[in-house]
Amino acid sequence: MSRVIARRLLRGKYIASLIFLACLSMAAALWIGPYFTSTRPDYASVAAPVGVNEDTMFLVKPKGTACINKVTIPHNLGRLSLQPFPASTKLGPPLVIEVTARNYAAGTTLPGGYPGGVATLPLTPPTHTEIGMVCVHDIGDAPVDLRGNNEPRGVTRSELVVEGKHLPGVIALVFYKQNDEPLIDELPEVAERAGVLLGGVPAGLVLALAVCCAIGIPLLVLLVLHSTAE
Amino acid sequence: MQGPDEVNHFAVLQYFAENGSLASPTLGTHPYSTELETFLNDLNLRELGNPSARPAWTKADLSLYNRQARKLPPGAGGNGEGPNAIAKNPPLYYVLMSGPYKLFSFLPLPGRILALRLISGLSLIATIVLVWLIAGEIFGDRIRQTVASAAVALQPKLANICTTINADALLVSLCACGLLLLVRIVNHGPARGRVAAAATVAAAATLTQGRGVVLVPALVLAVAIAHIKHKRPLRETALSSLVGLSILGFAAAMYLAFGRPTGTSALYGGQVSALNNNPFNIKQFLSVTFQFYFGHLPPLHQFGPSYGYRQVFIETFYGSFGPLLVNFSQHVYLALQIASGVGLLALYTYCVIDRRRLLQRWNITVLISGYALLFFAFLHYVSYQSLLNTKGAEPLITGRYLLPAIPLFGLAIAYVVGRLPRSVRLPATALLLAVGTLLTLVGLGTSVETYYV
Repeated sequence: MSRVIARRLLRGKYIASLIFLACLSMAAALWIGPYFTSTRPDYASVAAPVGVNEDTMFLVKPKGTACINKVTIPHNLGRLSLQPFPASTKLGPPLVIEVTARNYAAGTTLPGGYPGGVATLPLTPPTHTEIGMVCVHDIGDAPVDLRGNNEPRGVTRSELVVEGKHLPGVIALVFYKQNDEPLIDELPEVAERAGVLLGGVPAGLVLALAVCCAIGIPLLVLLVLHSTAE
Repeated sequence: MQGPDEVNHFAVLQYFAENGSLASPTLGTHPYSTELETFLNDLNLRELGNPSARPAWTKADLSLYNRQARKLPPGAGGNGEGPNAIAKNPPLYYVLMSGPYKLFSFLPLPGRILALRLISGLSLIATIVLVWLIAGEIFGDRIRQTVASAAVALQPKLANICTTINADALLVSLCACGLLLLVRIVNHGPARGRVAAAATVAAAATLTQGRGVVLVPALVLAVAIAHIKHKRPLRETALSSLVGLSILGFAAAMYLAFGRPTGTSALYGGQVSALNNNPFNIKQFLSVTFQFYFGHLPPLHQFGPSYGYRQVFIETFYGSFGPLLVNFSQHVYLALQIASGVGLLALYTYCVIDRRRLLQRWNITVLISGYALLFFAFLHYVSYQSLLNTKGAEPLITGRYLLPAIPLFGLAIAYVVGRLPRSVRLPATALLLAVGTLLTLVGLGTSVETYYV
């Protein structure tokens, strides 16, 4: 009896199916699993990225201000990141960043004396996601360059005003979540984001479709392989 | 709007659907309609060519967009008159897709775009079925049919292109359909119906994208092969050819009369004359093509960027989704390059071993190798002329341009798998399908990560 079962299992179609499943399981264990479970810095939203080919700087004079409007201020933010560089001295001046919306106002300070680069600062989130304005005030005695973006592929809906003048481009500004999370914990939120960009498709439906793809594609291929091997 | 040039393809389609004429590649002040501009602007979709960017993905952003969209005046969807470089394309894809656009015009723009993408996705299913049929005509056994169509179905770039709004999606399925009809012509003879069907598909491919032109000389080759193979009277073949020529001539006349974009009088929006305004130097062409495949060799003058086989046949053929920024890791590309090299070597070896059998079926052998030769020669010719035009800056060849030849990719894999020793055939098939499945899922995941995480 056991010999009959063994002979059946050794038939080509079972061997082929086993190889197929073994390959997928190995990839899931070595590659896909760690990818989903390792933590990473999580974007809450990206108001504007830095440029790809051009390094654009926007100069803010001492006591001057740069503002960008129509910025999404997500309810789950924990940190704000921008890229200030000292414009005339070795170390950068202190900056105050004000974030305001209809039902929200918060601020954070970057102390002076930084060499320039990415500055990530804590920020209190709003209760609900808001669309508002972010202003950077140079409260020191030296000018500061804010890295930004003026490439056609970097244009966002936000408008930049420096010292009261509208300028083309936008300063690079990113909101991160409070804590870094593994991708697997973020999946419902990713589905919600995809649903929004599909015009308001419910996150549950997007997630269900994603699960169907992740399970359905291998299953379909396995069925085709199994039936062909017969 | 993550597909390559997807915004521009949609803009041409929207203008045609709203106005019944093609946008201009050179004239105008609105490349996109106000409706499309609002969508791109309010959801920060313009910046997706930047890998550090993310769209405006919260419900508050969607509400902002919906408020703006409700304020749009009537006709806001129809004023994207140009300039739009994609309007140089011939009109068939946009004409066909304007039907579904009208059908779903009650939906807001994001919903309409989703519906059009799903309809475009039918071309993927059609291509898979057509490759199955081609493999059936050529091999006649189920395992090789399965391998050929599965290899095509699990090619991640094909799935990516076919699920975006892009004329290439239609071109791929038309080329697969054309190849099936050509195989039937050389297998069963140049009957009038077969030639007429093939000519209709060739005309449709030519009216979809310039690269579809390759089906026309391939049809001539197929009719010539079929005439010799099936020893048909010259009169009969001539009559069939006349039918095919009439169809192609009718399509050309329709294109000249109605299909050209506004503001141009030249073929393909001036691309044909622009690409051919430099003297053709055969030595330089061969040198450029040689270096494309084998890298820069010191005695040969390098013309153009260091861009060749690896970038086109590996990186942008298997990966590089979206605006070429979503990629597999370099390790994956290296593994794919090695696997492709081993596969090509195996194909060559089995072709040498099977030379007698291939000669017996010379009609299929000549057609398939002739189609491949015509296709790649055409791509290299256009690439060479583009390099001349741009003083070596723009090679104008990328992985998605290879997709109309995707049936050849599936057939080659199926041929090699079919010739493997019986004991390893099924395990090799399983391994191949597992790799394809993984590439497809990882490709999908990487795209999601780039835009939504």
